[in-house]
Amino acid sequence: MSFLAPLFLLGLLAVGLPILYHLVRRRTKDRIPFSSLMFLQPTPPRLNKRSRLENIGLLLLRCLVLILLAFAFARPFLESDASTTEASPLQTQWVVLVDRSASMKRPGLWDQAVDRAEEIIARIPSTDPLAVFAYDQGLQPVLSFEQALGLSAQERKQNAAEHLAVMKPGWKATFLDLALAESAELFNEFESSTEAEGFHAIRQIVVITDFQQGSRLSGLQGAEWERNLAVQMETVVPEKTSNAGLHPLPQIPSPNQKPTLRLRLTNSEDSQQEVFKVGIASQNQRLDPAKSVEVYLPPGQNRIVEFESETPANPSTPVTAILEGDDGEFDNRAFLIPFQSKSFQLPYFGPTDADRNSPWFYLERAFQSTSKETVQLVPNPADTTNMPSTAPLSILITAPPPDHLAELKRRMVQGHNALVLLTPQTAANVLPALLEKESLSVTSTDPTRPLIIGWIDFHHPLFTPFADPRYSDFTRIHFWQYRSWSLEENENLRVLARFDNDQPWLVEAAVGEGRAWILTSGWTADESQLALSTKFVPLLYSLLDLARGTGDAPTQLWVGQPLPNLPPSAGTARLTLPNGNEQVFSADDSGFIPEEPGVYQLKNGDAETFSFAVNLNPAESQTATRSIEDLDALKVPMQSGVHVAETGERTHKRNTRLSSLQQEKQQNLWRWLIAGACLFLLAETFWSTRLSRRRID
Amino acid sequence: MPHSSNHSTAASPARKWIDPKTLMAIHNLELRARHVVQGFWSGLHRSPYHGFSVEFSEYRQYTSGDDPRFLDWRLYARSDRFFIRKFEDETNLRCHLLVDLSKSMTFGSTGYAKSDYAATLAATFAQFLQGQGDAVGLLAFDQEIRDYLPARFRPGHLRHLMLALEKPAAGRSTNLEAPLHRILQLVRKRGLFILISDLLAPIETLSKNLQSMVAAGNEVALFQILDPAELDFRFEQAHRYYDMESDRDLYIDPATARTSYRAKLNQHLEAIETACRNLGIDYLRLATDEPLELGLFHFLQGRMQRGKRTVRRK
Repeated sequence: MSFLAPLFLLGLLAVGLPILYHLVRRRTKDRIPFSSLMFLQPTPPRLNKRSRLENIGLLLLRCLVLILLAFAFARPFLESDASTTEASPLQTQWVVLVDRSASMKRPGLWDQAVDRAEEIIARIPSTDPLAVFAYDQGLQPVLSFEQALGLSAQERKQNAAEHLAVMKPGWKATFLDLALAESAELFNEFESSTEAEGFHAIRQIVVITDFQQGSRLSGLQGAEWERNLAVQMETVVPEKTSNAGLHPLPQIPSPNQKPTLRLRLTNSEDSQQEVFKVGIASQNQRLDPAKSVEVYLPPGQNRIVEFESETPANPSTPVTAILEGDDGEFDNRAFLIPFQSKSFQLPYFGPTDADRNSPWFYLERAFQSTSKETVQLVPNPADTTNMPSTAPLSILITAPPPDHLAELKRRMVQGHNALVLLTPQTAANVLPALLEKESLSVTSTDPTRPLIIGWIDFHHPLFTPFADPRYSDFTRIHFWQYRSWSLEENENLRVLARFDNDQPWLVEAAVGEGRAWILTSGWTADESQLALSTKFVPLLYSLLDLARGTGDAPTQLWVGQPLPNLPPSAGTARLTLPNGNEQVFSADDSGFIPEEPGVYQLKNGDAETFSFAVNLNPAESQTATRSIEDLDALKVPMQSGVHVAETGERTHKRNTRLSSLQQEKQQNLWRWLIAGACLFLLAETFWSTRLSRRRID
Repeated sequence: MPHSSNHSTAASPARKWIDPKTLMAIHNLELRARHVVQGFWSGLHRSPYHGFSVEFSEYRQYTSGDDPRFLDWRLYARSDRFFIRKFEDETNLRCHLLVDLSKSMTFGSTGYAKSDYAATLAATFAQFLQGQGDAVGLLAFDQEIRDYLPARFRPGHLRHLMLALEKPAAGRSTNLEAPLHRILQLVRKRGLFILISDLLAPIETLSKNLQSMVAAGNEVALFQILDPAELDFRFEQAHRYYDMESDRDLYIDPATARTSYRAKLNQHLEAIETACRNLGIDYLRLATDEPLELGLFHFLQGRMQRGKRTVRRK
């Protein structure tokens, strides 16, 4: 029998304690009377010649309990037939990670990393499972475990080198936490797939990286690591460590009409440069001297630089900002979409009376111009050419002229949207055309009591802004007139809100690619309080955003962030990449994640084109090297130095130790010993209780 | 040291006196006491000290009817007149026996308890003093006063005393303060107090109360009764020994405890002796295996030394 922790056998010395106790214990039954104890002190127990062991059986039980406990803690195991001197060798499993984030684009870094990877791969024994992955914001396979199986060390090195040579650093950020976590998971998948025998093998992750300050480690907080896993960091350092970066800031509307371009300039802590030039690129994509400024920035600091761009013909033209005077070129360009105030013209068909009973009165006041956008209502356009082609939404209170209606329908089929007030007139003239029904029966109803909104579909994008409990209360709006409409709900016709008598209030009807939102009760005072409520204006703007298709989607993104509004909810969308190529997306496609910085333009159906400026993640500009203590602080199991090939003796010792661990874990003899100790303890308790009761009696 | 021993001075003819074990075999207390007294008298016959000097207080002229035994012939030779010696015994002596009959007095290793010995000693004194014509009273106590019989010289009073002394010892503890304090309240006239107890209680209480008794003009004699086992803790086995009064017990190994016990006991006894000496109190320690006559002898000797009337032969 062998022991994993033989030191605990020293606990056997404790057996002397019950023996001593049984010798010195006094079992005097007799009580002798004496006149007064005032001159007497109790005699402490001591051993003497007359001391003798009493209750041998009880003593044996107690000794057994202590013996079993000492043995249990020593973790005994029976050695198997396989000789322990020749313990089955256990493998080391390797995952080599190569950083291909944007910061590795600095001169010489990638080549260094590839060389280092080749060197390490060559030194790993061919019997050890190996996988090579590149990482930035996720893992990309270079050489999987399965591919490496059966290859010699040299072959593996060659294979990996070939893949890495093709691979270049990308533009994404460094998510080192994710890379380590996924690598740890790779081992489990490999072991489960191969049903590898033996107790947990040693797992090594070798990370070849510049280990810059911008590497994300937050995901490692509180992470739990397996005992047999270790991480080795192989840091590569460029010749020139200076690096300054240029990054866009969120663009804001400016009080005057000229858009302001806002940029942030950063300088790394180990930079040796302090003077830079920042400016806007001209047509040839070079820095325009007339539009540049010289900036003094000490290392470790950052500064906001603002430019007032001239008003070009198209104010929404993306702008490229350039930084000069820095060695690290990869982060010296920034793409900006100047803030553009939007303008909409919405066709309106209905009365334009200026009195309060007219729907026009409230609509005109609801759509106010702001610095962000201007909404203009075009009342009753004379002919179809006056209907703005880019209008996202038309508002129908009365029936438009037939040709207007036809044009409207045509546009709606292509994606235009309309807000229709259900009246006997629109029910007779507008909706049958739009919904392609012969007729619609509509009844005006004056309920005996004012109605309130009883149900709203907050999952619909129209009402999503109202889903917050602070804004979801529509019950204060009373309705005293509405049109009831017998309709069958199907995929093209959907009720978005109902009164408390279960009659629909707002219905969405699909018309081709576009949608018609039909209100069964108006917002003027003779029908409801909607125009006077706090919900009226936000509801209109929500309709407008939904009609526009993109809403307030961000226009400035980082590489690796998915583009908004893709895939399109309906129809197709055409995406123009920075290199001029186009990609078409339908509703069934997955989204799009930009892989490089630049300006991407998206056109959803007939909607206007949206531009997105995709830039480098600012964290990649923080190129100063981190300290390994950062990983120690997060309790990542680090292994210093390169222990790629242990000496035979060390391997043997390690293998023997792990073999013993494995055998002990399989046998688990300590559990039986603990159980036995518990049983004996119970017996001892029972026996000593009986004895003491007998003594009392 | 005023304790009796078998190697006492030539004044005590101890070898002729009754063995206490034999004495205690007599069940009747009065009979026991009578044996002691008679044994004492007969012992006195053989003693060179027979015929105690008699102290007298004054002369008076002889009148017809006086006992001619008390004629002072020397004075007649000098004065040619007959004068009778007036003894102090014509002054009434009140004697009170204060007997401790608490639970601790029930201890005994000699076959009988200390309380039996103390009661016998008290009965002996009562018998003796009454025989001298003195009035004898009794205060038996444990933690409180059990019996009180005022000092009387009446027929049948001695019987009452014996009956009170025959009651078994009980009580939870020994309280010397209460009875000593009480007796001073009860007894206004000066007299003789004989305290018989094992005195296994803190010395401070005892000396304070004895001081009060002496200050009130009383004569006090103190007899401490101890069992031989109490004197030298002659037990052999380690046992749990329990206090007979408090029932508290301790595990004691006599082999290790004996030395310190003796030292503490001697310290206590010396303190009692010192206190008695300072107060002028006659003190005698009696072991229960020693003859009771010794107590009587020492009592009389003590009174002689003080110049008190000791005995009148009848």
